[in-house]
Order: sequence, then structure tokens, then C-alpha cells
Amino acid sequence: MNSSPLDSAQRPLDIVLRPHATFDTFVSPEDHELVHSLKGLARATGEPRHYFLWGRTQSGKSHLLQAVCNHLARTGLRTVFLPMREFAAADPNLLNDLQHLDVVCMDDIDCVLGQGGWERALFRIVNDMWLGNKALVVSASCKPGDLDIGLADLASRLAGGLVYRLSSLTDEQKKLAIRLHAQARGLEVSPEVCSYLLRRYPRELKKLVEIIDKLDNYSLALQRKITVPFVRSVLAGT
Amino acid sequence: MTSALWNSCVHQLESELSEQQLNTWIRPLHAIEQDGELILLAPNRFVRDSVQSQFLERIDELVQTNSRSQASRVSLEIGSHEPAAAAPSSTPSPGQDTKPFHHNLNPYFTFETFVEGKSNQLPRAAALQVANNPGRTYNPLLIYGGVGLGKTHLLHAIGNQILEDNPSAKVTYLHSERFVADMIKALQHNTISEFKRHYRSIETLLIDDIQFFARKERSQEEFFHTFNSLLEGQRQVILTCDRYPKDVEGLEERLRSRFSWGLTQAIEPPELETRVAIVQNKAELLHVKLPSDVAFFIGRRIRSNIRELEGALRRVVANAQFTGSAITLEFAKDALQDLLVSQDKMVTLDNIQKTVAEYCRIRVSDLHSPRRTRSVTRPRQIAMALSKELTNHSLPEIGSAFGGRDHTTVLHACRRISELRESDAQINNDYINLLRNLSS
Repeated sequence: MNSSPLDSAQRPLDIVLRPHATFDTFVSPEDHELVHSLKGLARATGEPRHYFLWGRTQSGKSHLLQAVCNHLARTGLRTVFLPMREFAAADPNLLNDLQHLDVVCMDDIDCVLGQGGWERALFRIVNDMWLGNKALVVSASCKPGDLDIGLADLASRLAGGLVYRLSSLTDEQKKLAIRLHAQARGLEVSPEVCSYLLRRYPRELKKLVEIIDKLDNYSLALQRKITVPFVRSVLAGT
Repeated sequence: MTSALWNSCVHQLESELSEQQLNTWIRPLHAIEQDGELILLAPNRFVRDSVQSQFLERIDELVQTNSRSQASRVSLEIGSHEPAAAAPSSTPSPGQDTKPFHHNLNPYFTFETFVEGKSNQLPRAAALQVANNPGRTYNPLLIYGGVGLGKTHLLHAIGNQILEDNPSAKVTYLHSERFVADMIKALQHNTISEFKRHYRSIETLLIDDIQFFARKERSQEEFFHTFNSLLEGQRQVILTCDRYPKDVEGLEERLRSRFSWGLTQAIEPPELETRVAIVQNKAELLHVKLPSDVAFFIGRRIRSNIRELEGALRRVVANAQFTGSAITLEFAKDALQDLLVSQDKMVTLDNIQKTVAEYCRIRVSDLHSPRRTRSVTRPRQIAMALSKELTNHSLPEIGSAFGGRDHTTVLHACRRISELRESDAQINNDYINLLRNLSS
């Protein structure tokens, strides 16, 4: 009986160079305008400098926010990415003095809305970034008017920036995203493998990207090309 | 200038840390090399503490490896390093009276760019008088009204006018929430005397949204004394509030009473003509030619407040500039589609099955059943195709939700519906209707 690659003693270490979320690996043909505009934040000096991105989960919001940080950090600007989902139970003073940075990106702000302390802290940073003409990019699951915000002033300020909706990816776009992610790791994934993954496994891009990372590790260790039978054997039981 | 040593450390950390760790904790740091030491400045204590506990040891190793003859010690502090040309910080730091006075006004908010209409002509006139004679006409001037009606614009316009007439005037715009936060910080750092001295040295204080003082007794107390001190010195105070101050619960009576010593003016929501004029005025400032039907469209659709009105215009302009298109009514409608649609509902498999069953007048249990008559098969196929399009469930999960069917059945259903939508207008129409019902 053939041993499963999962049992192999040649299991590689999980430390690999992580391809960064960049504008180049962001897939969504409808959002070119947004990407163009965000790239321009490095040189923009006038208004507007505030962005509000909304869309369902898996529409690429976190990817874009991190791409903004990665892109602008390379131009020498000080940036921060705050995944608010992870900070919901933290002290809102976490946002104190961030106005001294050049760019603040806050992901999933709906996770902290409805909490007075957080709303006031958000309100302060939004105001301070506006006063300092600094760039602020926030994301949420719905447009500003539909957010469950107790502080009307905060809702109004969030709606005053450039508001963009991110569309969920179609299967074809997900296939392209998988291939771009694989390419960034120096890996070739055939269209057949992409279609197979989308047919048989969870179709959330995040999960698919994790699968590609796993396949890459095993393909490297076992010196095997990524084919449908290889995928099936590696992912058996997952 | 950025530190080459730090850059090389960050480059190495990029391959060791997750993207999120890098962007949340490492990128906000600012590095300065000084006297053989690499000083890392964190924006606040949370970033400093996290970096200290999780990453400092590794950073130290990397610095030792990369430093050669350069800096070899690493220290982590709270602080910021603003380049000389950068915008002034939003709030002047208390205790910095000896440094040149930085105002923090938005230069775009002037009386020239404030569009006058019936809803705001009285507060505008009062603001202009105060700007022309600070400390001598209405003191304090209090402007109240709902969110996004132009109160902040008027505050900045007053400040900008005063500075134009007297560039050395000490004018400060401040949000009440910031006053409260700075005061708490001053108390924590034992610098309340500097805090008091700073705010009492201002010549014109523009303070926004005083309703934020409600139920904050210590801040009210401090603001009461600051306010008295400024007024006694014939310094100008202009305040805004989101409602008539007497209606703000949790505000001390002595403050309410003080606030009404001068002139209190209401600012009302702008009527359609003013909204349209605001959009046209803003378009001119952006050097954009805006047809009047587009200005009317935006003015009619965005009724809530001026900030959102301007946000909508910016979106149209950004879209036009990117695509190189002329702004027409159709173009504007298209560009604002995202803003005007309702949010996506969370679509679940159960909801899809229920909606399709109702639409096709069958029972949800029919969709789960083994029945293969056309009246059941077709709705089942449509529901499966919608499930694939509107959810992230895997095909085996979708098959399982439809009476334990195989993923190949789901795949077949999706292909079949796709073909039928091309050849059968009725099915295409039904599919689009269901899609709209589920996603709007």
C-alpha cells in the first residue's frame, strides 16, 4: 500500500516566505478604480484621504487594506493595520495617538461598533486623521448608513469619505486569485486543479489560499507536480 | 530619514512574521539611529508593550547581526517623529507654549466655500461678525444643529478668517472628545497644570460638539474654568452642539447657563436648492464640470446631510477621472449604485430554499425529496445554482443540504441552469427575480 504524503518523514518546515498581500495579487476586475485611487495615496496631498470599503466576507477587504500598508510602507510612510475583529475585547485606547502615523487601516470596524468606548475612540481617530490630512482606510460588512452605530457623528464622518463596495468574487475570479497566489510562491497550478478545488473544497478564498500553501509545502518536500491525484492524496480526510 | 539598519531588519522580519503581525506591530514603528543606538518609536503604549513582549528579542538579534559597526543597542519608546514639513498634529501638545503656535485648521473650510441658504444664513452671518471682531461681538457664539449640517465648516471658517486678518493669532480648533481625552492623559501623566496653562492661553477657541461633555463631570469642571478664564480675558469662544444646549442631558446647569450668555443660533438641514448649490460649489472647487441634472440627482437622493452629499460627489468625480468619462446623469446613477443599494442580506441555504419554494409554489420538503418530476426538479436545480452563486458552501455541502445529493448533481444543476438561461427567457427571468429577491 502506498503511504500517504501526510505520513511522509520528509514533511517540510512550515517556515516559508509568505507572499504579501499586494495590489498585484488582488483580483476583482470591477475595482480597478479603487486600486488606482489607493495606490495614489502616497502622493495625494489634497482631499479626500478617507476611504470606506464595504462588502461581504471574502470580498478582499483585508487583502486590500494590507496591500495599502505594504505599498505605502515601501514609500517610507508609517502605516498600521488593525484587525478590529481581534481587538473587540481589547482596550479602545489602543487607538490613542495613531494620528501621528501617516496611514491607518482598520479592518472590520463593525466588530467594535455598539460599544461606547470603542465608538468614541474611533471617532477621535477619524477626526484627528482628518484634521492632520492623514490617510484613513476602514472596512466593514455594510455601507456606513447601514452600520449599527450609536454615535451618529461617527456614522456621518465615515460616510463623508470615498465609499466603495467590494464585490464577492465569482468562481472564475477565485480561480485567477488562486493562480496569482500560487505564482507569487513560484508555483504553477493548472486550471484543472483550480476547478477541482472549487468543486470539492470550501470555496472561501482564505481557505483555498491555505490549501495552496499546504500543497506547495508537500509538493516541495515530495518533489511532485501539483496534479488532481496529488491534491486528492494530500487533502484526503480534510 | 529612515534607518537603513532598521530597513534590513524589517526585510528579514517579512519572511518570519505573518503579514498581519508585520502590518500591525512592526510597520508602525519609526526608527532613529543615534549615538550607536537604534531607537524604535512606537505610537502608543499598546504597540510598545506588544512589540516588547513578542518581538523585541528577535529584533535585537537581527540588529546585532546586521549592525556591523553601526548602532548595536536597541531601545523601544513611545513617541512620534513628524517630519518638519508635515501637517501640524491635530492637537497642540499641552506644555509646549514656548514653541511656535500651530493652528490646526482645515484651509478648505472658509466662508467662500460655505454655501449660504435659508437653512444656515443666520448662523453664517453671526459667524462672520465674530470672525471680523473676535472677542467683541457675540461671546460665546453657539451654533447648534444635527450631524453633518456645516457646523464644523463654520468653526474652521471663523478660524481661517481670523488668521487671515491676523496671522499670529492663537486660534485652536478642538473637538470636545479630544479635550476630554487630552485632559485624562494630562491627569495620568501629572501634567494637568501645563494642560490648563495651554488651553487658557488660547485667543480664539473653536470647540466642536460640546454634547460630548455630557456625564463627564471632571471634564465639565475643567472646561468650565477654561471657559471662564477665556471669557474673562475677552478671548473668543465659539461652540457647537448637536442640539439646543438646554436639551443635553448630563450637562451641568452652570455650563448650560454660561453657554447661553452670548448668541445661540440654529443651523437647519439644507433644503433641496441649497443641497444642489452645495454640490455645484464643491464640483467647482474640484474643477469639475457638473451638469445641473446630475447636481439635482445627487441633491435629491442624498438628503441626510452635507458630508454624505460631498462624499457622493467625490465618488462620481473619482469614477469619472479614472475612466475619463464625461459626467452625465446615467454615469452618476451608475457610479452611485453602491451607495444607494441596500446592504447585502446574509444569504443562507435555508433562505434560498425557502425563497425558491415560495416563488415556485412548492414546499421546501419537495426540494429535499427524491421526487424527479419537472415541477420539482427545475426549482431544485435553480435553488442549487443560486446556492453556488450566493454562498461560499462547497458543492458537497450544497448537495447534502438538498436531501443528501452528490456534488456531481449540484454541478449538473448549475450547468443545466446556465444553459437554460441562454435558451429559455422565462427561466432566465425567474432566476434574475430570485437573485434580486435574495440579494437586495
